[in-house]
Amino acid sequence: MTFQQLLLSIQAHWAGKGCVLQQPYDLEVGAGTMHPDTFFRVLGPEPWRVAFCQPSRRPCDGRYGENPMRVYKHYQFQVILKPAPLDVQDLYLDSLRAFGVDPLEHDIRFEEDNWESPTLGAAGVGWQVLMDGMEISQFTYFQQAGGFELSPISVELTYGLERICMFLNDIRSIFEIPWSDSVTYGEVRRREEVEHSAYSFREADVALFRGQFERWEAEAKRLLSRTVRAEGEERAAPLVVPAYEAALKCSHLFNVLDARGALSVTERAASIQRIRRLACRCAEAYLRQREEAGFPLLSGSDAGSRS
Amino acid sequence: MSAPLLIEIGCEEIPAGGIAGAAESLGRRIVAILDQAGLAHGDASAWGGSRRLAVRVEGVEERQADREETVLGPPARAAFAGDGSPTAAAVGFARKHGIPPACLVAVRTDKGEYSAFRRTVRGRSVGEVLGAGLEQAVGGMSFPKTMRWGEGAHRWVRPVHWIVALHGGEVLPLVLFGIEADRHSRGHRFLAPGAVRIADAGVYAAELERAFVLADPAARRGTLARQLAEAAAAESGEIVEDERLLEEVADLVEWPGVVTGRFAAEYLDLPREVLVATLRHHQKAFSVQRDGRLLPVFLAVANTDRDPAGHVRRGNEWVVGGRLEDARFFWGEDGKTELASRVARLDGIVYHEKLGTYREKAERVAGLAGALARQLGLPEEEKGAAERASLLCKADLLTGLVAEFPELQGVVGGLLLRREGVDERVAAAVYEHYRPRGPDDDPPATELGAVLSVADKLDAVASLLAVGERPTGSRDPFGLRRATAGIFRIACERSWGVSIGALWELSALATGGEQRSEIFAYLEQRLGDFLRERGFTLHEIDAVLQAGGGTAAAALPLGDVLARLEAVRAVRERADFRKLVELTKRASNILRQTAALIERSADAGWAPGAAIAAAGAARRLEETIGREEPAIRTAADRRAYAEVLDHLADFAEPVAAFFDEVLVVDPEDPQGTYQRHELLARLGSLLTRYFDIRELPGDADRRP
Repeated sequence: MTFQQLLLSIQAHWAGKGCVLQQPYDLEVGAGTMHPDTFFRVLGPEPWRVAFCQPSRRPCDGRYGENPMRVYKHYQFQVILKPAPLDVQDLYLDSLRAFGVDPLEHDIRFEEDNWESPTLGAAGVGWQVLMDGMEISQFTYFQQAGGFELSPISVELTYGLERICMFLNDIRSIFEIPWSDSVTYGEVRRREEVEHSAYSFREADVALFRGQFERWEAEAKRLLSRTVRAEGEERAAPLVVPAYEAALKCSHLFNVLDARGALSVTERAASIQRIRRLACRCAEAYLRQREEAGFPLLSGSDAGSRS
Repeated sequence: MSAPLLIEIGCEEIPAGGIAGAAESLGRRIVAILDQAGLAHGDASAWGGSRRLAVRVEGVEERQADREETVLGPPARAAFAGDGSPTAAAVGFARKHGIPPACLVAVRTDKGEYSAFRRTVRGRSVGEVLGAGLEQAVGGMSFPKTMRWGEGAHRWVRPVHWIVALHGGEVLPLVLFGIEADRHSRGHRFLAPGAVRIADAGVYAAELERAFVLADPAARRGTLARQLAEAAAAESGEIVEDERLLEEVADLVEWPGVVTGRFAAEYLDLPREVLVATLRHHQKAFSVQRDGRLLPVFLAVANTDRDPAGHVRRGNEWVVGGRLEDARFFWGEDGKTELASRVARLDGIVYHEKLGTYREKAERVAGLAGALARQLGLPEEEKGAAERASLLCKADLLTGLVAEFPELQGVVGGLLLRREGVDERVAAAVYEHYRPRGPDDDPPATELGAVLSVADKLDAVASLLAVGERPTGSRDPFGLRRATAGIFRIACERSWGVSIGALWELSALATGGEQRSEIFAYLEQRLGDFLRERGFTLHEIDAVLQAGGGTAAAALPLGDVLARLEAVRAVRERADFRKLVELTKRASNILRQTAALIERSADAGWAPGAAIAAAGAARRLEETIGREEPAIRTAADRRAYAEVLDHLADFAEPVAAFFDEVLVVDPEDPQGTYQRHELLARLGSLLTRYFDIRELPGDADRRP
């Protein structure tokens, strides 16, 4: 099974389960959780189902295209089901069957792995899903996001598409994955891996990144504190999504500075906290906005959100 | 009618490590509900697997006995008219309870006469009793982490899917987590995905076994242990035992199977510790050895006993290969820099926000280790080695291997130093300075390792207590209790001549002057706890630590404490010794009485002696003291504590005779009383100098 066949089949599977088929977010992010269609949508009472593939950049994981398992950027497939249906484990296992995994021929286990994102003020309880001893998915019941206790509870399913594809093809290097019938993953991406690793570890202009971090943080704060004058009084009018995008930029700048070895331990912890504060304020502003709009997805929601 | 009661809570995969304990806790809670309701029952057994906790209680009564109850109404004066007919108040009361007013009678109570009626209250059934109490009992179970799911209405360790509740063959009408109980359990997630009908509470475990679930944690562990041994034997080897890993993997599977995987022999060049940790940490797999040498084989545990296409083996081999490659990469990289050159970078790692960095910690440890080495009388050169090891011991926190395997802290440092060819004593001390990591782990084997380990732990205990990080309840984030127990264990087992008073004085090097009395109190309290965990009773411990008027706890060399306790334990049940305990208590009671008398007579200028010489038993006692005192001192100096106690036991007979024949307090004879008091005081001081045997139960405590 080629990489693109896998992607098509997993998209089709979840589209068939009532998910909005989203596209990757067009900013540098470390995981699908940072996509606004995850981070924002899990807040508040409105139901939501979404699936998308998110190219995820993790500068620290870059290996110059030499490690068969680790890369600067990988493709994470992300599913959010809100509220988490009671049969979600079965739905997940059906998705594995959809791309040809027969659980009776494998050893599939759910091992405790509680997830936490300090930068997003988010935490969840769940498992890593192991197939024959290899982690292929994270399965998380979100309990908190943006500093808010969640209700209803969303479940996040993430798939490491490269690993699954390697598994299905019984190959041992990510770069040998057949992307399509004619080219390999390595032919599509290897050069980029080499360059991004060199850039993150050695070349990135630390002063530039530090300066950018400060400026995007200031921009996020400005957008969150924005007010407009209406009927003679100042009213809060934050621009929530642009503010969140500014916070995401900070997050990526931080990741590169971290890979570059430019952050001391205390500075590292302080930076994480600064990003978390922005994310939490964005979450709060988003919730207020939805509440003012009357939580529009609540009405007649069942048809749109349940299979 | 009584029948077994079965409750099973079916859920999504529970985290490994606490399933048996959680099932037992559920059992205790169910039994408590039955006991509180007065429902007779037999023994309880608990089962648990990754998708279930279950409890069966044998012989549970079907229903509480009916009971008579008197319901009080208005006072009799207000309830009955002069002719005894009910008043309006009485009629109203009767109507409220739906009984004819004629049923009301007058009853006498503590507060006077009241109108009342009697009724029979039907006993509640087991279903009703559990219906009222089970939800709260289950919801209140404690897990390291709980969660909400779905609409977020319930909180438990994982989402709950089914409830089985049977009394004999009857389904109990219970609702738990919004789910109605029935008789349908589930089998293995893949091997038997359908419902499993449980006809009767008695057949639970057998029915599940047919559905590929071994619900008994001990049976799963046993099966796994056998499968692992067989798989290792097939390779002409044996597994590297790891009880904690076995415990953990037994919780991960409901139908255990073992897969034998192989890796390239070149990885055997890795240090054994690193190889075993890689397999254990990342793959929860067991290593296999033959004649003490590892084989290029691992045993992984699966939740199935079949592998028809070989996927399970190949998948595990693939992951293990990648992990070993990583480990080899780190082992190679870490060796490119001398460990000593990493010490400066410890400046960048915070140990505790109020206690500075690991560099500062290492320097404190070096100070403590040096002082301890001197106290133990080690040669100056060994003291220097202990200090060098201290400064190096935290440097491996900056290696890739420790970042990957935090459980190898210390071990990695030792291995790297050994490879660099530094002084083997230093390498060994660094290697073992975290030991003992718990009660099941060995303490350091080398003297320098022991010194470094104690210095490191003493620094942690004293400096963290000094900044207010005292363990509370179940919270001990820095492992101070374990560290303190480790200190005592090393000192006791090496028969070191240091006391907790001496350790406390040393610890001032780590703390400056903060919280000194709290640190001493903590050491003293934990010493008692440590000795109790080693199986000594409170009486025995107090008899040793309270000797010499309560000064022994601080001053006794720790090595001596165990020797003394063992001696006490050996004699305390002997008849002569129990007798002596009794007599010593009696002597100290009399001494308390006579003390006041003596104070009044202190100026009288009485000479000791005359009254003693006159009476036979008193004389004999005095002679015994004169004879035994030097013998006891000599034996104590030789640390022959059993002998000390034997000598003490020799007092039983003369002391008994003294009390039988001699009147100690004689108001007619103050001088004689004073002299007998002096004799008893000498006796008392001798009998409690090395052991305060008054702390032991004597003959009197035996009588009903």
